[in-house]
Amino acid sequence: MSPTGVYVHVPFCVARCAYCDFAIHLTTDEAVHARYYDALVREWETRASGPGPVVSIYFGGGTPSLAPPAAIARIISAIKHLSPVAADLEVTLEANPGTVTEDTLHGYREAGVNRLSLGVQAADTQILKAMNRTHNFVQAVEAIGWARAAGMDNVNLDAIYGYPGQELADVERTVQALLDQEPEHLSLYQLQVEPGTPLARDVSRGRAALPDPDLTADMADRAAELSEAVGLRRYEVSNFARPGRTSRHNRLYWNQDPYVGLGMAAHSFDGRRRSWNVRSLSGYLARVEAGQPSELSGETLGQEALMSEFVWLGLRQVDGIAALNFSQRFGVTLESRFGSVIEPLRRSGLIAAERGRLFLSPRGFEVMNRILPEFLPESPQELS
Amino acid sequence: MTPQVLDQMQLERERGITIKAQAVRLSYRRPGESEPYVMNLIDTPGHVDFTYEVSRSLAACEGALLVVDASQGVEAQTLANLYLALEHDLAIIPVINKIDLPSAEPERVAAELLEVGVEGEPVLVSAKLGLGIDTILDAIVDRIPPPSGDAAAPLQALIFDSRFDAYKGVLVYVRVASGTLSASDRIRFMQGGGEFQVQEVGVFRPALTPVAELGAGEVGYFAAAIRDVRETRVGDTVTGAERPAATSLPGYRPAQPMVFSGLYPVDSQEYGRLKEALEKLQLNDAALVFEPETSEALGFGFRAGFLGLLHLEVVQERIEREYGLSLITTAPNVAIRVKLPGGGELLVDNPARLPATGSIEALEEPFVDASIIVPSEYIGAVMDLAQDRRGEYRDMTYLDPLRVLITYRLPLSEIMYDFFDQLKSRTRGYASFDYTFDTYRASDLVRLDILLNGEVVDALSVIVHRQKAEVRGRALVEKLKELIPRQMFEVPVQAAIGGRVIARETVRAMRKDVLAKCYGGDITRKRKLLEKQREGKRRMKSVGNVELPQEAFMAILKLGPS
Repeated sequence: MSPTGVYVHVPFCVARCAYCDFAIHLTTDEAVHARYYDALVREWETRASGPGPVVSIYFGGGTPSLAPPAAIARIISAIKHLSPVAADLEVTLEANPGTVTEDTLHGYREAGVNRLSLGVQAADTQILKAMNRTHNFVQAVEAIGWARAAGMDNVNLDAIYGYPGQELADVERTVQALLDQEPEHLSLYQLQVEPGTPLARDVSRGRAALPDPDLTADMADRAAELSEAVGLRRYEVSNFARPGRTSRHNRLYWNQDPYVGLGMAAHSFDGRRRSWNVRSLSGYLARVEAGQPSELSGETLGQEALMSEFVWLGLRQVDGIAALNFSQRFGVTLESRFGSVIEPLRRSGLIAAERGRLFLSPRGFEVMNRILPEFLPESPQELS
Repeated sequence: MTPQVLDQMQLERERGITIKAQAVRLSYRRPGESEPYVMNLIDTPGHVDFTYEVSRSLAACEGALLVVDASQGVEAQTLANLYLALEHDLAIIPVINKIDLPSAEPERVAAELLEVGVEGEPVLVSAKLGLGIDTILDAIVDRIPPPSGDAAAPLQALIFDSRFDAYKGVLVYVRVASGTLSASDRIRFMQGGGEFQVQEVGVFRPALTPVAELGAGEVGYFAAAIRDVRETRVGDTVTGAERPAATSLPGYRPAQPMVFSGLYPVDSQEYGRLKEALEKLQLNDAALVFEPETSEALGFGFRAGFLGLLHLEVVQERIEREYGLSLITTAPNVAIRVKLPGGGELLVDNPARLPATGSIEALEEPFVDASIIVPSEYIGAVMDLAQDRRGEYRDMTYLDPLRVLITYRLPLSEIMYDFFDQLKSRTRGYASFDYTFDTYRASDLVRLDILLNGEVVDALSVIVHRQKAEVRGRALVEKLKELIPRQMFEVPVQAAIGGRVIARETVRAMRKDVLAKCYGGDITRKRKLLEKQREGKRRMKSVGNVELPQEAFMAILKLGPS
């Protein structure tokens, strides 16, 4: 039985961040929030008959820390009630500084949350303002202290680099300030300008200028250097962790393991089929409350698509993929299926195959967008 | 009524130009007279690239309406078309259009017409408001002689155009000079030799409208289940198979391609489809010529000849739109005449094929006679530009005290790209420009090669004048550096003449290209981004291990003034 994850989407936010194109909902109406948490439990009750034991529950957003601890507790216990869970179950909650208190963090810990992911994003007040974040760095430090006091011994901090107006020194300062908090895990995301966001409009109208790509590359290198110097090892494009503290949940995604996504716009994967829920809050509530499926659409992957995806998802990780794992899953060897793609990449020094693993070289890792498409099936996705 | 009713091609409508001549027949009853007059009109293109279309049409006529804009006045194109009409000995009716414009100056324009030798009272009209249309129709009746052909004589009809129709086969556009042509006739092409049974005869109203027969003097079409458009050569004479005419009508000179370019499919699998597209376009475009060629960089493609840059653009756009093909077009060039040491000569229409210096006695390139009409205050600006383009001054005539006609002899290669744009910008849009082919003349030319990663890319070679080679070379590598996206490896871009590198730039290696985030398990979105990345790569042409965008091959067109 494959280990399974449960993703729980909490869409509520107090403001939209300038770079954000996630499925969120700006409301503080407590009645709406309560209806939504009821719907999450109800959705789980109709979908719980998943395969293996649940190894991870992940509250993502939106801003999950807007949910009262009691709501989080109810959802966690509903999951445990209907599904076997692993002894070392990881329960992550994303939180924004400024939306948590000492009490709520205690409450989350009591409810079973054992990993906190805090969206700090930057140490610099100006940049935080430009991002339309509703907190400052002092509030972030305060939240980390409360989390530690509440017994959270697994804390991730998020930051973004490559933001308009950022200099190399700003990124160094932010990363150093985060490292000073001694997190177990660090996610350093290069800014992606998504169409339709306020940031995209500012960039297209010339009101914001992205840093030069070479400068952004320097930022990435410098941030990685600082992190690794204090023992946070990179294990995926944007993620660094102390030994044994990698994100169980994200590894499910990268290892093509199944997960159930609850809530509006949440994505699920059952091992063959990828599906996604209706994207609006009203649509989601209407469906779940009427006892209808929350799924909007989906696609079933054929064997070729699964093999391809397994490789390109796996290669996002520094350690890449195990050849044995591939042949056990698909009944053919990695070599026989992808040898002709791998060989020229290996000769160019972009990929390496050692000790039974296939992984990108440091240079290959830097330009993976140029390499991973080589593993896509020839024709566009075969769907059924 | 639909505006631009005769410009039926989508491109013509979008660009507001006429590319293809269109025939139309109308009947006009003059007030007070009982019998209607039947008129056959042909609307012709104005752009210099399509002069060939115009000259074919004029050969099928008795007279011409010379339409001049009431505010722009006589333009270089007006003169070019006027001279064509005079060559065909046609009766000319000057028409001054757009008299409704506030800036209209019909008296000044009438004086200019006299100055350039157009006799006869100009007809003042506004096509937009419908003013003066009756006057034009009356002028046609009064001033243009009726056709003189003998209906009883053997059939002689001049082919002035043809078009392929999927249902009827080739539609042959003819002007009947003598005899009659009817739907039951068996005809013969006097030069082509083919004999066919006519199945339909008709006229243009402007939609194809079948009639029983076409008499002497009439313009129309016929269909005879002809499958191959090459049977129906434009300029050939159609006669009766039973009672053939003794002589054929004077034909046309075949269209002379002036500008050549390599056409290659981005996806080399599409070679067959490109060939098919070119063959189909050629059915309706006798001036388009092409033959297969191979490029080390681009693989299998075609070297195609065009009447000019607009013609090239039109063909390229039609291939991409109508056949859904993605094309690499190499920088257009003129054909160079190579005098060989032994006394022989060679016409080279692909710069990469220019022989080594040792096997060249001399090089010649095509020159044109160019006419530029411009307000006299810009004479200096025009002369500077022409000088810079290796122009040789010929003559200057004042059309009126403020406007002047300047003529220059210029190398075609120097006016091909941006000459007209430059002329316009230096004369604040007032200049008009036209040219006719003169002859081949000796020039001191060299081949400029471009090297990527140390390898010559044959499709990027150009032939330039020796004195301009260094400047061009530098500008070209700078432009290429801009156009070539960063690759995984550093790419040196060099320009060289005869193996000597004269300029170098470097496209630096891309530092990073990664997708940072996984959106809460939305793997599908990430896969789509990777697929998009791959599509982007497929639109590039891989030359050696360098990925080149389509624009890179046209870089020379995008250089600033040189």
